[in-house]
Amino acid sequence: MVAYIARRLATGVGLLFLVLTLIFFVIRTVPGDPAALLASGGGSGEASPEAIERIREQLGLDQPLWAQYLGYLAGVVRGDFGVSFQFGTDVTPIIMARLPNTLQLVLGAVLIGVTVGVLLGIIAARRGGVVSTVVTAMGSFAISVPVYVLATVLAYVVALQLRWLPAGGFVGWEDPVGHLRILVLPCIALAVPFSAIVATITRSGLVETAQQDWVRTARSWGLSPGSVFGRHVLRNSLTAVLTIVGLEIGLMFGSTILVEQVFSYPGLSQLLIKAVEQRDYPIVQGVAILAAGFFIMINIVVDVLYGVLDPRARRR
Amino acid sequence: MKRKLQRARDAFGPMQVIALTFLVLLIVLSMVAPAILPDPLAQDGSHTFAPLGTSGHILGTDAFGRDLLARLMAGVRTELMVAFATTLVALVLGTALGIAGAYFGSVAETVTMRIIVDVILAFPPIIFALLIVTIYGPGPITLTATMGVLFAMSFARIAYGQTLTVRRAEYVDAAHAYGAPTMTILFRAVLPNISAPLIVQASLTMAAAILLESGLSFLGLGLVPPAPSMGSMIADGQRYLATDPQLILIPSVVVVLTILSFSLLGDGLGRWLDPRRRNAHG
Repeated sequence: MVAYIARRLATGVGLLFLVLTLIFFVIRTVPGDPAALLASGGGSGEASPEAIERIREQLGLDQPLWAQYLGYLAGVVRGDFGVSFQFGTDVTPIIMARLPNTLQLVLGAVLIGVTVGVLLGIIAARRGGVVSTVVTAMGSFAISVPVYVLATVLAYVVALQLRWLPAGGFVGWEDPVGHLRILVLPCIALAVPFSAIVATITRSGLVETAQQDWVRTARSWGLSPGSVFGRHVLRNSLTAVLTIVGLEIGLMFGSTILVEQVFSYPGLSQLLIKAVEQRDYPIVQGVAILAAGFFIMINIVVDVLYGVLDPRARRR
Repeated sequence: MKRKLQRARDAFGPMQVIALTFLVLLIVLSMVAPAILPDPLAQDGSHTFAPLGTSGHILGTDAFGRDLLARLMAGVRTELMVAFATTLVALVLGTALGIAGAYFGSVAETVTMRIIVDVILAFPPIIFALLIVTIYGPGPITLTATMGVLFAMSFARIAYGQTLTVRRAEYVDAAHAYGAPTMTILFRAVLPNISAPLIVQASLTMAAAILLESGLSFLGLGLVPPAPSMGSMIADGQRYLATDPQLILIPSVVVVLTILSFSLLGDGLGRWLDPRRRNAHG
């Protein structure tokens, strides 16, 4: 098991290294002088020679390519993503100030989404018939609704019409109830498509597993249907659910950008949008590296859990 | 022939027929819209927030007095064009990567599947797109290229898996044996036999591309205002949500139905082209 975890970690580090390499070279594919382009805000205005020179120095563009690359890697390893063009201060603290808010949304949405999704999947698989059809249909509808549309509709109905919850803004943890009330709607908006996918996968996994020979064997031993389901079918279907949860958490990190925008929630969203508009490359790069790192880490965790649930996976 | 027809009927249920009808209508409407509707950019300060059913503005007008239906149709047109171009780029690029990786194996496999595909897929798509927009600026070209590369990765995975099974097939060996050039084998023997799941994926990619494009436009970083798009219309309407919800609801319904239609169509195509079902019927 230790060797398995070590192998997964090594693969993850390798992948992260390739991600960093890609980001490094993408910025250098910009036609012309990247420093001039970044300094002028994307060619929209004329940049002063000092500004160009400052960015050139910051990106290390006056050095040979290999030295730039090594310097960049060494910086990232130390958690140094450069200096923001807009604020003139280090990128890392700027991002870290907002990251916890975004992670709270992701965590809340995953908790809601997994619970509701697995329950719906179990109900659909055990009941079959109309219930199954309804759950499947709702699932394909839910993943066709853009998350920002869903968020807007929730804001309109629950917050503006029913006035049950606030339509946006922010309350800190000093007021825990107020804080949680802020989190509810964005989390639900994120959780709906997520739970639809989890429900679909759970249902099809359960139906498929229930047809296996060893399930019939277990039943022929005289085990009660409940115990066959709980101890054998459900447990063996959870690996597929786990895989999809890992994949979807990464995507959800992206969706939070849209949901935060609807609810004016102070996560990474506003920072990122402003940075893209202002061509504040170091901030966008920092968030991208963080998101990819987060995604890769989730996948390692999923792989390790997978190995715990299914010993066959460890040998692969 | 009769069997083929029967199979198509089994695969395409009433939902698929509705989806297809809706999409055809939408495409035709958005194409003829410029000839019969007002200019989507023309502002009219005396007719702001006109309600539904106003004469001359069937769906009413927005905060600048711009005709909502005209903006909607112009948005649909751009959106479908961007989504179609994206799908085409993704299909060609991804299939080429996948086939190359599986057919040539070893180094090609490592480069395509392990390096290119895994690295691109390590980013949440919207964040990857934002990174590219930061560097190259927003607009339809950046959008199409970025989303094309992003969605190509799913095509690459599918083409890779399919080619691995086809590569060892007897007809590929036979083509080898009589000395067919590699390109001929790839285009005449491999490609036709892996195309079915790629076609299904193309329909799903149309849906995914519209989803992502409208999301970026919602953030104001996809298609640039004042050019209308579903996403930016929904974003503009946020401010008037309490008083004029129709400004958001109408484009929302259109965008949801479009995405839903493409994914329903993909489901139908999947059932139709599934080889297991094909054998079951004949």
